[in-house]
Amino acid sequence: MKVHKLTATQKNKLIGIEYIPNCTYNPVQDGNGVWIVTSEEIEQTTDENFAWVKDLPQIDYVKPKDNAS
Amino acid sequence: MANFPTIAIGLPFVKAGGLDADAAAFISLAAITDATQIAAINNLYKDFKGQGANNSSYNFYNRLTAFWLFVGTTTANIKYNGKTPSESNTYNLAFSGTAPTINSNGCKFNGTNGFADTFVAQNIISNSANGMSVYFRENTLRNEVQIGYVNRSTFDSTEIGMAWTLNNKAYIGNKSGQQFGANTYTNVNGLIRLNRHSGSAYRLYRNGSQIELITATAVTDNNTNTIVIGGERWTAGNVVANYSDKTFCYADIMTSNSLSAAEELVYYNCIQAFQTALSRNV
Repeated sequence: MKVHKLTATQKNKLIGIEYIPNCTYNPVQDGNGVWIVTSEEIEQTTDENFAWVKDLPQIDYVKPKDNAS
Repeated sequence: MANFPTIAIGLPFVKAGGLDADAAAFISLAAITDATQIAAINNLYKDFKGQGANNSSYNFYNRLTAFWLFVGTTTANIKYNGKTPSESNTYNLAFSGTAPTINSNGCKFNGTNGFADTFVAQNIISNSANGMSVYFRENTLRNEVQIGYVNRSTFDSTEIGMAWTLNNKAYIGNKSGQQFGANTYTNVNGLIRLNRHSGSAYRLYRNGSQIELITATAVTDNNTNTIVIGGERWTAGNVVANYSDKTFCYADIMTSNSLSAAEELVYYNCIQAFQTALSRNV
C-alpha cells in the first residue's frame, strides 16, 4: 500500500483539520516511525490551504508493530 | 372529539402513530428515508424500551449511555448517538483518518488510520457496572482493537480486541490490565460485548453467550481520554493505535449499568433482529 510521508511540522499542521465534512486528517507513524497520511485523505483534500499535501512524497506503507503488552 | 389520525410528515411508508418518538428524532436527524431502514430503527427503539417483539421485559434504553446504528451512506448519516438524539449530543461521532466506507453493510474502517471518536471519556465509566458492545461482520482474526482505551503507563484498559492472530485470543480489559482471555477463537464476528458486573470481575459475550470470565479488580484511572471505535485510544499523545478494518453495524457504551446473563441474550436478540431486518446480520 502506498502512503505519503510527512515531516513532524507538516503533521502538526494537519492534526484536527477537517479534509471532508465530519472527518479530520489523522497522521500516524508507520512501522519505521515515519509520519504518514493516506492517499485517500490526500485525494479528498479540496481546501487550497492544504493543497500542499498533494505534493507529499509517496512511500510504501510499513505496518507498525503490534502493541500487545 | 373526533379521533383524527396523525401523519408523520417527511417519513414515508410508516403508518401513522407507529414511530417511537426517539426513533423519529433519530431518523429525522440521520436523514433516513428508506422504509426498511426506518422500520428496523423504529423496532430497535421499541425493543430497547421493552415495548417490542423481541423484548417486552427490560428497559435497555434507559441504561444505555450511547449507541450508534451505522445506517446510512455518509458520516453525516451515521454520526448520531441514538440515545436522546440531537445535533448537539455530546456523543455524536467524529471521524478521523481515512474516511470509512459506508454502505448497507455498515461502516468499514481501513485498518490503517481510520477511527471514530465517541467522546465518552473513559474515566466516567463505572468501576462496578458497565458495558460496551460492537457488532461487526468480518469473521477474520486480526491484531486489532475494535473499541477502547488503554493507559500506556499502567496498561489498564477498557477495550475489546476480538480476536488476535497472535494467539487467536481476545485482547481485553475493563477498567483493568490489558490481557488475553483464556480461550481461543475461530468465530469472532457478530455482537461482541464487554460486561463488568462487579468491582472484581467482568465478562465477555459473543452473540448473547458468555465466552470469557475475567477476575480483575477495577482500578481508578482519572485520565479523560475518550473511547474510540475502530482502534485503541492511548493516553500517550492521545493517539489511536491497533486500528480495526472491520465493518461495524452497531456499537454502544453503558457507562454505569450492566446486564444480567438473561438480559445479555435478550439484548443480543434485539440487535440481531435489527441487523436481520437490514439484511446485514451475521
